[in-house]
Amino acid sequence: MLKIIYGILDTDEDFIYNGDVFFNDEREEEWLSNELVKQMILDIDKSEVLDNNLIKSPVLGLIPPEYLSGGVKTLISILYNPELLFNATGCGENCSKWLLKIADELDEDVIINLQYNMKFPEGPFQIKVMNTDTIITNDRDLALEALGLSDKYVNYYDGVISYEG
Amino acid sequence: MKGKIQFYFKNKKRSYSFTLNRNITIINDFSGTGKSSFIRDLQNGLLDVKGRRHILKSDGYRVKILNDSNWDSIYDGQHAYTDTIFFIDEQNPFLVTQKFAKFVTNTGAYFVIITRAHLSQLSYSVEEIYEFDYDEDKNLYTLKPKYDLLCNDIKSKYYLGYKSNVLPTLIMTEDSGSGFDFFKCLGIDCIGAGGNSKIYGKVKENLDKNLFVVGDGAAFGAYINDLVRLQGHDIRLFLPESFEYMVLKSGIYYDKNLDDVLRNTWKYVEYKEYSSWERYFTKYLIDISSDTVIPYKKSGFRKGFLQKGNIEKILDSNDLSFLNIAGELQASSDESEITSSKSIAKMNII
Repeated sequence: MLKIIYGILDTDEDFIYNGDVFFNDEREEEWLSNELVKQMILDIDKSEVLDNNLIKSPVLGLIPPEYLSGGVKTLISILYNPELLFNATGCGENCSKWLLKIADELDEDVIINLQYNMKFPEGPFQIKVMNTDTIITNDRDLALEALGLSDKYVNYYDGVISYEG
Repeated sequence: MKGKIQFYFKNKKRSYSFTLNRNITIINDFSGTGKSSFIRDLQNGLLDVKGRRHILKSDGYRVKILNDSNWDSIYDGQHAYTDTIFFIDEQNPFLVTQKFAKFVTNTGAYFVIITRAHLSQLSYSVEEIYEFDYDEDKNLYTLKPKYDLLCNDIKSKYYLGYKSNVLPTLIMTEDSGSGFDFFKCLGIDCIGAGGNSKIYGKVKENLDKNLFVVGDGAAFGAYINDLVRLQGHDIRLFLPESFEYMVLKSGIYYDKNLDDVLRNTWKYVEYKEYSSWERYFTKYLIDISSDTVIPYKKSGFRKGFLQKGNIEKILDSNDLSFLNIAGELQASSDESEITSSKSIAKMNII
């Protein structure tokens, strides 16, 4: 299941604040040969994967993977490192359907942090809002559940959510 | 710094052209629209010190990219950056800090920030939140507003639910100052949210009502996304620059520069002095009303101001006449403060 912690997060989990940098540092060659990854790159960056180290972009031309958008790099990093807690604020709303697909593909829960109230597809889906410990099944309810949570300072220690102040 | 700045950058493959209307411009867009490429292009351009391969125009102001690696040193030397346009990519942790807000205020510099985070510690306008617009034929990136005004009439500043003609059952203002005093007179239930940070909670509590939320658009940028996400609920979001702007538009107070101030506010706001246009309009209104019979006070209207005629002037000049329910105005009949010898020449008093 996709689980979201909204807010400016402090945590004892292995937290990756910048998925863009993480991807650039830790990318493995085979990541780009994955079909789901190729679909995400085509959908979000409108680009075609030519091989593990080369992408054809309609705007930028032939580019290395490091020149992909921060959003798609974060998604790919999440797919291959679901045990980590990623800040997905760098993912635009065109990434939200892929976050759900990634969570469906994987056998384990995927936890992300968001500093904005991201719009998801209409539904139905299953997303757990960890701030309120509530499972939400459609975007209309999610918009309401997440209202005002994104700019609060939130702590996540020993698996427990708490707030500063 | 003050004024509008025309920004233009061109390399061999792409160009970027847009106007910075205020001190804070936010670029908030889908992924894959060219935001990081823009920062990379600009970074390369700034390294091209002889300027032979790039064109950069910024009305004479220095351009600098601010990121985690140079943030501390720039903050420590902030006095040197008062005439600078800073470009900041997303995912820089300092963006959400009070320290960054202080830096913005202390320098009075201009900032172009790529982010989806709220940055509620900053005061920025809903009108200065943009997406990229790409012209494939010209390889040109420009900016388009992210949140469209629902009506092209300059009087109307609706971002949600304008087309509804139904009277609201509850008006919600940001706080309990003069704006609240005004809307309370209309004979419709009215509450103050107790500040921007509390507005979400109040909206959530009152979703069963037909809500009319009034906020200061000049400083509401951090809050609009969450409220626009409530599309489909019975909410109208009305965001004039500020309540003081509404009073200035009404023509109740007079100043020879008033028309220019309202139409070309960008000429007047020095950002080292005013964190937003809202603050400027407040100061300006207090100044031009100071020697009138009813000087303006932000914390609440003085007696005698909220006469029927004044209320109607403010409503009409701000496209809010539909809120004037016949016979319902709870106007003040107290003229006790309109007896002094102070000049009324600067007031179109009703």
